[in-house]
Amino acid sequence: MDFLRRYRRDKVGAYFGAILLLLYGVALTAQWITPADPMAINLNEVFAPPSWRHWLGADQFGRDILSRVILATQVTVKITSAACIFAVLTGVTIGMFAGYRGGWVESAAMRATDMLLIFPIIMLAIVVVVVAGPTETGVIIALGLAQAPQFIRIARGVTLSVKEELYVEAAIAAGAGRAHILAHHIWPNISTPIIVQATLTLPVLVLNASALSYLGLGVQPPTPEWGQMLNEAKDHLITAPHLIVGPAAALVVFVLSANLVGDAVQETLNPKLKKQK
Amino acid sequence: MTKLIVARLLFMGPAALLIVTFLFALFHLIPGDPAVMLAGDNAPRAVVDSIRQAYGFDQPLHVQYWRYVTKVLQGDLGISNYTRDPVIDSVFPRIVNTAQLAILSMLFAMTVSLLLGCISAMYWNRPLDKIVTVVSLLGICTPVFVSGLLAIYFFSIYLGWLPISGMSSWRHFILPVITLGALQAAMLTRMVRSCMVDALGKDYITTARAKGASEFLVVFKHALRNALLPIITLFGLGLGHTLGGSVVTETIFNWPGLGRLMVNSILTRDLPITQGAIFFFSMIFILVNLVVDLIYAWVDPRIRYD
Amino acid sequence: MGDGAPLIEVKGLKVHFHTEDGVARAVDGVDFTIAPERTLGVVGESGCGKSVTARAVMGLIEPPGRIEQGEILLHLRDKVVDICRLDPRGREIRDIRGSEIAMIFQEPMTSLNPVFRIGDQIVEAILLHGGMGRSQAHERAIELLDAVGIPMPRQRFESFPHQLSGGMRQRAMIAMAMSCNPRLLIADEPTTALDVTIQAQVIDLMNALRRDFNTAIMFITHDLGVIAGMADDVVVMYSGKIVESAPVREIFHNPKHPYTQGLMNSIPSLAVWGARRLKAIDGVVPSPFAHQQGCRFAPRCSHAMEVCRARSPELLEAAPGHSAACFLHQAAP
Repeated sequence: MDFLRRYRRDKVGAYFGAILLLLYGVALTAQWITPADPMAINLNEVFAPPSWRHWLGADQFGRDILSRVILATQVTVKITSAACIFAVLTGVTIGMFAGYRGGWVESAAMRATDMLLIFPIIMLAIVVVVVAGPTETGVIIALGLAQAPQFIRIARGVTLSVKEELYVEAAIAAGAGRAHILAHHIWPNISTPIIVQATLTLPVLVLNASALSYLGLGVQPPTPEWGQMLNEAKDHLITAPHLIVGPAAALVVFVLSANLVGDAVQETLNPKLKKQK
Repeated sequence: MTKLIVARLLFMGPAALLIVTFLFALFHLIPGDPAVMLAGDNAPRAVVDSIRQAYGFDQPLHVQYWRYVTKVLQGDLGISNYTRDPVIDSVFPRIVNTAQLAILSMLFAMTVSLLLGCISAMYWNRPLDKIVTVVSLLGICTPVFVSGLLAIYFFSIYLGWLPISGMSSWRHFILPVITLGALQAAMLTRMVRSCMVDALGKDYITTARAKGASEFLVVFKHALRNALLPIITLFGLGLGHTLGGSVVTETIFNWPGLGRLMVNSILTRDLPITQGAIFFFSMIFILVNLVVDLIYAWVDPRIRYD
Repeated sequence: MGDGAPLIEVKGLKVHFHTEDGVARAVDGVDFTIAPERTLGVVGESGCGKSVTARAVMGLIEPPGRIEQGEILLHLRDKVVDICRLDPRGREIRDIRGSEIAMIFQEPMTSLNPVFRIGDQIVEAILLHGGMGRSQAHERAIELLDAVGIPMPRQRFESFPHQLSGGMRQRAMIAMAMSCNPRLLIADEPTTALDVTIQAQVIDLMNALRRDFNTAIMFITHDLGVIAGMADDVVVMYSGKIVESAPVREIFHNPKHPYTQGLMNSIPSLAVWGARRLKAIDGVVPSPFAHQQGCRFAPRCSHAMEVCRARSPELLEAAPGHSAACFLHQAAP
């Protein structure tokens, strides 16, 4: 509650937080709020311009673009949330274990992490898709694994510093087990930086998810996704430029809100950073 | 300094081996019979068998692995499933095209971000700074495939000034370079600004002002020279991002680069080409990282003279 | 105080910081004068506004800080300028900084730019104020390094700050400050960050330079021992105001303001009243954000009277050349 009160002081963060909540609301209720069937082909309305019937027009198969954008919101939210959870779980598990265990396990894990951090996320994601396949699950695994190194780093860093604290050493001396120490002493310290990193990661995940699907390596048609819709729209740029408006706007607004919310969460949880901004 | 160079060069070897190992693992990680995959789905049985033998897929794993590693070391990454040309031949010209795109975009991004970042820091918290901040935030939130499509529509279709795709003249470079460069510029401007704001708050800046140095000298000599240390690292990361972004940019503008080759090879299940592209991309990233580290060490007198 | 024209006159200076948490009155009405070739010691606890005053004299107040009132008159050879009226980033103040007024800082570790050679940083200061070519400036920089007692000045010229000890860096800072023969040197706690033995060396150096260069010094410190060895005149600041101002002997032998007396009691070697134990002053410096009626020292003062809490005392002469802002020494109106 205290968090919410402090967060609300940041006007920009609160405003875009509301937009982001709205977008998540749209995603959760997508099935019920689409004005038309997003999959229904209607060859009489191919490339129909925006009108009262189709607010954002219709695509090359005469499908209602607004409905497809709404459904794509759900697809994106599903993929990115799952990928985020996946990245947090793998990253935190590996990072905590590496930091706690120390020794060669730690140095091997950190070397590998350092090496992965050299590569751009989209590259890592593409490579994982090669193995996991261009399906919803494949994309979730790809994006999650590509983001995991960041979480490994943070989790390991915090674990290392907490491990040195007296109360943890006392707990170890008192014979507490590894699982107990990780869960009761180390996890509470990790959660804040991980939450901050997770919110900062969200816009990156959205951008990369749609980039993958733009490349044809994401969710496959006919399931709509913003990137994939834009890829299809590109082929009809001369005849029907209005096809790009809906997915482009939705994508940019989503990423913008997620970015600003991420900044605001970071400032709320780490007020020290604010002075530098 | 020499120790650092040697250490970093030694890092290259294991890293390359790790990548080759991963490429080898791809044969078996991807579901399906690797020999069938390499021969193509409709290949006659005899062809599949000959490939199985050539790669040694019927042999134990360590024999296959050893065979693959030695082949890669000799520069043989196999032949394309489709064109039947050696992978190296299709990959090399693509590397040059990607390098052109990435380097030009990065130069554009570096120039713009240094300029805007410094100006923003100089006018910290004043209207000019806020404008730069908002514009760069919008830039970060606009992926290349949105800005690229808008640019193509506006400049190529609506105004008819620039070609839509390809790379046959200098005019073909303008849209891809600026689209990709602008995204990088937006990201880097934010970071350059915060490095500069940080540097401008240091004590030695007050010393420089107390000497009677002009604001220009304070910002562009004293602060920038210090901020350059973190900025070089950022630019190195930025070059990595640019290469990552080039995959999408090349696809939008039909740029015959390594990224588009990689994506197409994945879509057409041409595994040797995919492996070749991953291999060279990885080597480029590792090399860029190495060069950035060395430049950093060279620029920082605390490392260079110790 | 010195006869004839003063070097710098500060009149009614008020510097406030406008922050999100409110207005901090860092300097709230300060007057003093420095005569040519004299050394003024400015004493006070941290947060009393002495560093902000020094920065104001340099024209180095940056937002959110603002000079609200007052003037800082610098007497140049041919004219008098008010530093408060100059554009802090303009040409005029830049010609004054470094050449008429130079400054050295508390932290020699961070005050030198880490990426430039020591010598080049001095050369830059010389070149900024003209009159010399690069090679001449180079020679001059080496002379200066020698003058501030840095051994092997030619080699040290090529050093980067991180290769020098704290004391050496502070010497290099002093060399840089003296490079254009300033008429006023502002030293903002120049010895605080140094070891005690190094402190003494730096003080000796500054005393020697003062004679050689005929420079006036504004010496800011919280250390009365340092003041005793350096200053001609002393002002004592408390919470943004000057509470006492007198020649150095007067301050030590006959402190008038209870705050100054408290400071004296807190020095080990100068416990004038022969107290056995050191007496720290009770309480803390009030927040600069607090808007308080009456004398700001009253809450901590053992002599506080009714009037002290109602009105703020002015800085008035209590003895010839000796002023104090305290009702104990003023006939209540």
